[in-house]
Amino acid sequence: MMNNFLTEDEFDLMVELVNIGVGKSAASLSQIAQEEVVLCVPALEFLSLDDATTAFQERLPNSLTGVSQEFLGFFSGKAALLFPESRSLDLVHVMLGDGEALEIEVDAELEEEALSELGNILLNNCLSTISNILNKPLNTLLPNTFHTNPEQLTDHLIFQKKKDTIIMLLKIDFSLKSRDLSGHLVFVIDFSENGSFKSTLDNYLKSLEES
Amino acid sequence: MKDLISMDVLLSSFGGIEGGIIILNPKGYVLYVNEWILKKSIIDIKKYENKTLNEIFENNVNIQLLNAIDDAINSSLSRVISHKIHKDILPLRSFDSLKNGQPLNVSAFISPLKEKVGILIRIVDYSSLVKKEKQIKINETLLRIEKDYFIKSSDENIEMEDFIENFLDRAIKSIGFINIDFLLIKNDMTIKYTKEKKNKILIECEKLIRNKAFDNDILEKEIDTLSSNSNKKICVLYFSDKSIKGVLEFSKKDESIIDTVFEKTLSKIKSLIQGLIESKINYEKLNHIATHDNLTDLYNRSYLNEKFNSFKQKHSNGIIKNFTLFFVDLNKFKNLNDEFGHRYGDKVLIKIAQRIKNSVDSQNGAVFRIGGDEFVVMKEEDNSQNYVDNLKTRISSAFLCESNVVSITASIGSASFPSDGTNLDDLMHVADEKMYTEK
Repeated sequence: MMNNFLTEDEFDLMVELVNIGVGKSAASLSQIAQEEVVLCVPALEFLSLDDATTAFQERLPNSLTGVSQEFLGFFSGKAALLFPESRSLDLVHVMLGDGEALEIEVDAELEEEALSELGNILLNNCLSTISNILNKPLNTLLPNTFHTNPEQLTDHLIFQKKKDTIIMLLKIDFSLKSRDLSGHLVFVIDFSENGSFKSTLDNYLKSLEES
Repeated sequence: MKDLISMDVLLSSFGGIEGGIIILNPKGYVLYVNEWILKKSIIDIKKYENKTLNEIFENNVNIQLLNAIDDAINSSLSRVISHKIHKDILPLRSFDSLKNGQPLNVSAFISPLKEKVGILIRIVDYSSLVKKEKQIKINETLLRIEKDYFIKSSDENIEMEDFIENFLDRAIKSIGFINIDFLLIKNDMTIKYTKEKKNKILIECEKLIRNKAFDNDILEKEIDTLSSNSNKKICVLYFSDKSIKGVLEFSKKDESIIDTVFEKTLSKIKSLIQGLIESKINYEKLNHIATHDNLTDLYNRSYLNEKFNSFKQKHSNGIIKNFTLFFVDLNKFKNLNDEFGHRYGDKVLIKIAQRIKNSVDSQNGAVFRIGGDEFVVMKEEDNSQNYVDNLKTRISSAFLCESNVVSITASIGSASFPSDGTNLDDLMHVADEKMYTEK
């Protein structure tokens, strides 16, 4: 499936970049949790919009909480970190220690703010790693938390559906304070945009060969 | 930057947001800091232009915020820094409650502006928003309690003591962070609501109220002295019935509760309790007027039916076997009225009423004045000649009224439920006839 979008080398490069980004995220999160946070990406794939919609429905739980963040630059789109709704604040609780949270209901909104920071750290690290290594500027906007279901997820993430829109879908496992949690990372990438995403990857690969 | 976007235009979009705004130029030097930040800053900020944030706040800026600013400068990354995760993002404090203010935990939103013209940092004090929301929730809860218990205050079957205990329990459970102890004193009764067995302050207050003969000024002063020696807040409640006073004692369950929230909440609880008890007192008064005879304070005729039904209920529940209605009519009372006047007659009636009332135990009997000199006694027992004789003796023993010796006799007829009838009219008829026969 990925052959439709990327060559094998390009795909491997992306896997590499995302893994470095996720590694950096783990370091940032460990600093906040004051304990080692291990993140790993057991699966990464590129999907067309239609395939992604099917994949979301097959793989994601019925109600989702997410943190999404728009990015602009040599490739543009929206990135999101997704959790099952029921477990979305677990990450916050585990990171903060249980004593801190759980006051009264109004605090739930503030916990979502904390969740949006955690998502923000993860997404920023992945995007900035890609941007720094490929040496191309990339802006990120402030993150938002949202609640949705797998059917409406694409509508939520994609402002304008285009044929050349591709979805990079990653499963991400968190292991911290002897508890495990897994979520998904979704990057919606507008592939048609001057073909600059693919050409940037190509140029980088070429520069590697030259050096 | 000023050339690109006018500061006025930029700031106008934040008009509605309470909180801090800091704008940095593309290299990270401060261009603008709003009033909110200047007001809340622990460090006195005199000049801020062209300094870094860390210079202005004398190296008291959280490392996460500094890193986020670097990321915004170098990589145009936006960042949220949540107060839930990070403490002391900036050295700020609130000046709302205490002189020196409490440290303020804020969230920060860092976003690089378009075309790299600068970096916008928004500072939001969510804790004050949460405080406001919590206050709204507390108010809603108190309103619900108020509604429920105003309805209950009209229920004559709920005793004052149970009423108070019940709603204080609910108030404490729903507010959660406040302990409430309470004392209500009337001449002949004390209702005490406290979880401590020996609450010294309440014991002291009770003594004060009873000793100071309800002199409000002295009372307030002495109670002020009592509360100044403890971390508890004490206030006195006054009611339209001057013979009733209440004392409320509040304390925080947890010292971290902010003073303004505590004060606001307890002033609300105070007026709620005052209002509810006042309403209960008024309903009790109303109920008393509706069921009692004005002159003698015995039950009145309209209450006879209700009482009869409750006796009948006790009978059908098997609590009592039978009960008897005694019809008491004073002999030649009219002569007394004619000779000495109605006021004199009234005094005699009050005295006799007291004697009839003393002849029954209020647990198993009731006394009614149903007409001028006509009384009814309802008692949980079979028709007893002993009682009739005893009552007659009680009534007829001589007494002094305005220096005249009065001796008045009574004729009494009786009827028992169910042997003489099963409804009030029948029983009254039988007793009335027997009384006339005797006369």
